[in-house]
Amino acid sequence: MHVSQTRDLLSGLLVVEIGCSLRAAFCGKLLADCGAEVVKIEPMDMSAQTHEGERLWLDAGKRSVMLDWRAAPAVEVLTRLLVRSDVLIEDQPPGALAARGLSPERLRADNPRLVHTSITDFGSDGPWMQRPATDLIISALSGMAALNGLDGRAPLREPGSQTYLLAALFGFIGTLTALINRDVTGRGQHVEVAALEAVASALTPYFLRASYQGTPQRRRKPGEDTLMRCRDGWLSLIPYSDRTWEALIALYGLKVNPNDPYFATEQQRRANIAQIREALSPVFAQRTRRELFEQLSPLRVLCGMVMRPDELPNDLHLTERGSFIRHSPTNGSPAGTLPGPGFRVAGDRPVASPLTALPEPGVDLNVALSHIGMTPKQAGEEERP
Amino acid sequence: MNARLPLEHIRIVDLTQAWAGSYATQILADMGADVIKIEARSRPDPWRGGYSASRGLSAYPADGPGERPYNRSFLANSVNRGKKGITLDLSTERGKAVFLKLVQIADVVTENFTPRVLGNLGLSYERLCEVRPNLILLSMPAYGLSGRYSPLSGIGGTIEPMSGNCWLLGEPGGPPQTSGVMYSDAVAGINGACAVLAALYHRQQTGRGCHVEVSQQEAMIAMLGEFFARGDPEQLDRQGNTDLQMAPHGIYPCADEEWLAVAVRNDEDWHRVLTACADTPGLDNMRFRTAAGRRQHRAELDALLESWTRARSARDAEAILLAMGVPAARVRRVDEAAHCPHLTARRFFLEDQHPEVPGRHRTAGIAARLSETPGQVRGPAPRLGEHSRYVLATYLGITDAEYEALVAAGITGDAPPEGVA
Repeated sequence: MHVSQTRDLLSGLLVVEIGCSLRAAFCGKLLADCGAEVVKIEPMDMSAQTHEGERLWLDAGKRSVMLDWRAAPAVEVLTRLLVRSDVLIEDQPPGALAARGLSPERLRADNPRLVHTSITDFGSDGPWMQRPATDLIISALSGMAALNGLDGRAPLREPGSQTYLLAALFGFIGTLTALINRDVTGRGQHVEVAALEAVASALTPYFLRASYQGTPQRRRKPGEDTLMRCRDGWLSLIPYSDRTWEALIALYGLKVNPNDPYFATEQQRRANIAQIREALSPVFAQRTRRELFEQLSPLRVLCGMVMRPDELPNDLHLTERGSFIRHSPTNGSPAGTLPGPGFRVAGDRPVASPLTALPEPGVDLNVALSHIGMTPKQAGEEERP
Repeated sequence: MNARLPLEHIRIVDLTQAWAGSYATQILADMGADVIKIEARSRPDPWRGGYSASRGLSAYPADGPGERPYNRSFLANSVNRGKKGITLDLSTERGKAVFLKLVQIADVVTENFTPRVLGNLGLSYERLCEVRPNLILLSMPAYGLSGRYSPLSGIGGTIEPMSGNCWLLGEPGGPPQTSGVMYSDAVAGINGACAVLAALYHRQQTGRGCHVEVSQQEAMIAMLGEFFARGDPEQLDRQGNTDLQMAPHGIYPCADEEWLAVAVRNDEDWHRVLTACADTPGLDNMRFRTAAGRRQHRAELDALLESWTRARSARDAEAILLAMGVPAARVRRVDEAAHCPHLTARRFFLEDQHPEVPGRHRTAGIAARLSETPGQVRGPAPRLGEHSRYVLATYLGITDAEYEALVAAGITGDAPPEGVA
């Protein structure tokens, strides 16, 4: 018998999340998407300051406990909760938790099976440990921004806060690796992910290139991109292979001698991409993205439509796959259409359910306390209905 | 040398190629998994650049493609370290039989073909589970295993546009762009490693395997969650380096043709900027006093800050702002990042030594650091078929005579097929 739902993968796992940025929040979300019980510790009611849609994206399916872990009574509650937990995910500045008696050593002394994952900008040592940073700064320092954009123009970060999401994904990788190893050794451990290192890892081929060739990859010149203008937008076309080139000539009657030394081989076509774009541009200008995509794709020509993000939730392919989770107020969540996880059990369709509803801030204190056999009164908190 | 690596009890039979899939299994190999990478001699991993250098991938070391260019591509060598490499022709019955014997002793099989390929080879998940019950299979097709586009091939240059990333990447008012590096492959690869680990954890708890999939398109869409979360069509234009919340937030030109990234997180940062840039008239305008005001007057603010950065070198500007506690960084190229003092002090980098590439080559190390059983890179990427004889003999008990017969039949080996340049 095989598992059928992504939410089955990590069911039974108890995770505490103490976050101050996307790094911990997105890692906790990945764990919750796989069915872990994720208890999000929030120092105060952040709901007024956080966009409701963002909370739905990051916190749906988690439990919310309001607890100021910087105050002594709350540290006691948290310590007891962590004794019962499998995982702590946190992204506090280096030393901040230790200053409250929650160092990795102390936590693992209390609970040798705990996997404690710290996801910071720069890690817990090194000259930049305390350097102020954001996603943009990590993008600039890692080499990522210098690869994006056009030659002579400003380097570009990837849209949004993707360096922090990469760090969160590596947080998930480290956490799960430590959990798998715990089954062998019986012991948890501390996992450390620095966002700067996560992004450098994602760029591994370009680090090796810089060393092999003595020169880094430079930003493109205008016209070197694969994107081509068509009637209603852009299409990305990879025109280099023999098969693709022959298909383009046959389909569109290009006025190019196939034996022209500029275009005869893949190598020459790569070198002469500007002329290829010029030859194709009148053909593309008359056709829509979808016409071109549906004409070329079945011929195994590599191409992709430039889609607006707001087109995606209603795209037929993605609808057929259930790629987006549609939250409706009837599920106990605010309305919203959000991307599902980046991986899933084959055949599963992630859907909104009471299990994936957005918790009301702080509503789960009683549940968290029940894990450790305490009442709200003992914890110095007011009872909630 | 570590006594134990965290995944050393896991064996992966790896059919993935190019970047995304190979990177997924490299992350697991770094953690100790025994990864056996399988290629066909007739059709090696395209990231090797083919048997001759004529495809023009320009992926070779500075001293050229050499006699065996397929062993010298930085692309293939960057995402296959620590794996064993064998060749096997899965289109033959004998090749398939060897493959199924390997599956029998594997925990995980990984592949990034289009969905029809494994089935056409007679190697569906159900078939694989007949020889290895509770196997984990990772499939990483461009568009997933279902839906109308699932039969289509894709690469980073087509996934990025189809996921919305291209639409958002570019200068405000300018055309969309693909990333400089087919970055969606890296995203898919990391998600592939996540999927395998979640499935492995589940199997250790329940004894049950499963088939997990990464749609490379969905993995990239998942990175854009904040744009869907905000749901404001006005925020769905090209982003440049702007942020939905922070302003100023950008990469500004400096006097020395270098660039400086600056991010103002809050009012405290803004007051620090005002102190650091006190010689720039206009910055202290009351319009910029609140975060909302700074967002509203973003363009004006960017022009003022740029007038300040243009008057000094990126290094000086970085030092001034950092001294005040403002997040700022001169933009580093990858070759500069490779000598980053911080990452060097943290011993993050590796010195890759490949038998067919002279010298030691600095590359990125392991991003998830475990305190008790850290990962470890165990050697460079395999040469074509480097471990064919070893794996077949040691793992499957195939004799030398049987191995030579398989080589003669073109099913395995450690060289290109006869007659191929």
